[in-house]
Amino acid sequence: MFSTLQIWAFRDLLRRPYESLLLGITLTLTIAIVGTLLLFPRAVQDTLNTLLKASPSIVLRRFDAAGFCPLPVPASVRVAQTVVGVVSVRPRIWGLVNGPDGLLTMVGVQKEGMPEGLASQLTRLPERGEVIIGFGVVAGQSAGTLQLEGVIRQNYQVIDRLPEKTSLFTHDLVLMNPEDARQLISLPKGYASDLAIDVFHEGEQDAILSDLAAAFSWPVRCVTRRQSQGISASRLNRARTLVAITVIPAVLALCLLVAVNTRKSMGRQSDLGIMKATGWTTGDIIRFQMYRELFVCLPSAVVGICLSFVLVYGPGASWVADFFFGWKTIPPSFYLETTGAATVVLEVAALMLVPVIASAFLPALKGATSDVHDMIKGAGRR
Amino acid sequence: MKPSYDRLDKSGQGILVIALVSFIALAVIAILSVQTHRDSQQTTQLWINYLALQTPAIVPSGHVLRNSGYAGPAIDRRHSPHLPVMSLMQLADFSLENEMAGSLKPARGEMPLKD
Amino acid sequence: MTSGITCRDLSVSFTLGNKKKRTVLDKITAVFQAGKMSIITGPVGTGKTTLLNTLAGLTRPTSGEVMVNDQAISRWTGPHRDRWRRQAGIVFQHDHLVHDLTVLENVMLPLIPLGHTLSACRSQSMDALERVGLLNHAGNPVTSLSGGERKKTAMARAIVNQPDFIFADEPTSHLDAESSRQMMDLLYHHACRNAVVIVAAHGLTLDTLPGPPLCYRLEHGVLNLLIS
Repeated sequence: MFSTLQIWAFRDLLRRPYESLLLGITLTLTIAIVGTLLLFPRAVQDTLNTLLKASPSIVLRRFDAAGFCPLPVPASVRVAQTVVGVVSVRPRIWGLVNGPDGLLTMVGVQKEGMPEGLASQLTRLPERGEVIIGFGVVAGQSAGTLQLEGVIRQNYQVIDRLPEKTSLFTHDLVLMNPEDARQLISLPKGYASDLAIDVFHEGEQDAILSDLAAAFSWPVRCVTRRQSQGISASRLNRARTLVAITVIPAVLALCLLVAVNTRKSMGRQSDLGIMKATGWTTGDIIRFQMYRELFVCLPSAVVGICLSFVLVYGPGASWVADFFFGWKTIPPSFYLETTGAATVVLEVAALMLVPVIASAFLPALKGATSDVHDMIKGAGRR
Repeated sequence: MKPSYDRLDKSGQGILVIALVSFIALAVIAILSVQTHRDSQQTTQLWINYLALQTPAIVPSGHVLRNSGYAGPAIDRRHSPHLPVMSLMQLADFSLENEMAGSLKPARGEMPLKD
Repeated sequence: MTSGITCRDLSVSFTLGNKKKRTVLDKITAVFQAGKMSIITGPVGTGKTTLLNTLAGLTRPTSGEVMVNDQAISRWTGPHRDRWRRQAGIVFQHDHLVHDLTVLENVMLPLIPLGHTLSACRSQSMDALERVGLLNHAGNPVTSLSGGERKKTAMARAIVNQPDFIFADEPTSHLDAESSRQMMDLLYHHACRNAVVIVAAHGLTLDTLPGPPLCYRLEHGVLNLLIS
């Protein structure tokens, strides 16, 4: 199954088995750490970008001198629908209210338009006085009730919880009956907080903004999906900076590994000289060295990257998110984007493996031009 | 049993072992690549679509991010330090001409207001 | 089939630490015939090892040529000389065995890059060990061997591939009379098979040699033929 040269290369590792094992373990752990550091922000960004594809193309809000204000539903929907390129217009009833542990996002939910797939996840939609809460919303004193404070302060019965796996978007949500929602934020009947608009083509998001603004008789502000993605990405940049700083010790460790490996390889000049004296060519020695290094580096890289994947994408893997972002109660579910992950894998491989493997070739390349007699004599200088 | 004068058979077995370990690790990577929380992704997208959610709940800092949406006149306590708010200066120097949908700004004097 | 090794005006000089030049070999011209064992004698430090290393292509001469089959191998690049050395077997003065490997593995070393199967390499190496009388030590690490046993292992490594050229530097050092005779018989056997066998030694007596050799004496950088 394996050539004699490959078996000989592995035999050479067994001359110093503990050293080889230590190198392998060190490489594996370093690759796992660096891989996780690089993969995690990428996973967060890829996941957010994937999920944001389901968000509305444009959210349109009305504002006046005091700030944002509600808009009349029938008239606004009618006006928005006249704009070319708009596919659907949905009024949103939502606001920010105070919960027991801070601000929560309250959303009034309608029965109409609820997909079948969601209906099966809930007991039922909330009636008056009832709420469904997100995974991160902590109920009040009583486990089954939640006190919310908007215009009024009111207790609500918690009848259900949103699925844990949707937490990236539903962490702070409180779903309630639309009438309760209006009462809580003093939203008049027939008015909505804003409009969620979907357009026919992704690229038209920015193009129809001026048409939308022109269609309304009062000032409006629009936020596109692209801008939402930009906001998320800019917040992630701070995390990336932290990652860059934490990668430095790993890179220093790698430099040390390379230096040690190079020194060890250069100390093998006498062995390589004996091999050349017994008929090994430079090409044979390079292949021998390559197999020798690959038998350590390749499995280390694969296992290390596997560990990174498990830590970032694996089910129940949450300590990385806790370490980076303090997500103690949020179970992250990250979705793999092939190009994103492949980029990280290639970066890690280049950063970690290339210097280590190259360091092993230096003596072989040096020996290509040296006299064999001089190489053999180098034994005393190790 | 034939005596062994070298460790080359053991070396062959060693290569097999590391090949096996590598394959298992690759299989785990492949499984995670193919089956990373597909149902979770679909469910979350359904909820986003149904509720028309525009932003994720979580930013990297662990705090909630929502666009400064409607908090009517009765609620003037948009006091979360983590949310962008319209500052007092902006309120005081509020000029309709400076506010425009999206990223487009009309030239001064061409306010697209309608009666 | 080879016709032998010829050296023409072969000179080797070294630059010493004080920047002075020391000429070890001075315009040596000689023919080492195939089918005959050539012995190079001389006092300690005259350059026998240097001559052997130069003939074996382990080091380049300062001037002059080493010819094999009308090809100046001393002018070849390293990779070509390495490949040529697959036809050669070398017994070093200081053995130069690989530590941490067993006796058998050391003998197998020249066979590994040739593409043979592992069992073929083992079989050939065991034959070589049997011929030098070390079969019982095949599985022992070389660090456990005596000086004489190490020399025999080096000899086995040199002959394992049935080479056309054998360069043996002090092959009988650390060996008793019986073992010395055994080693010289082995070398003579290879010479009879039309290999070029060149031995450097300072303590050999001619009556211990199995057959009529070519004898040279190296002194003050000059090689003189003593007996043909």
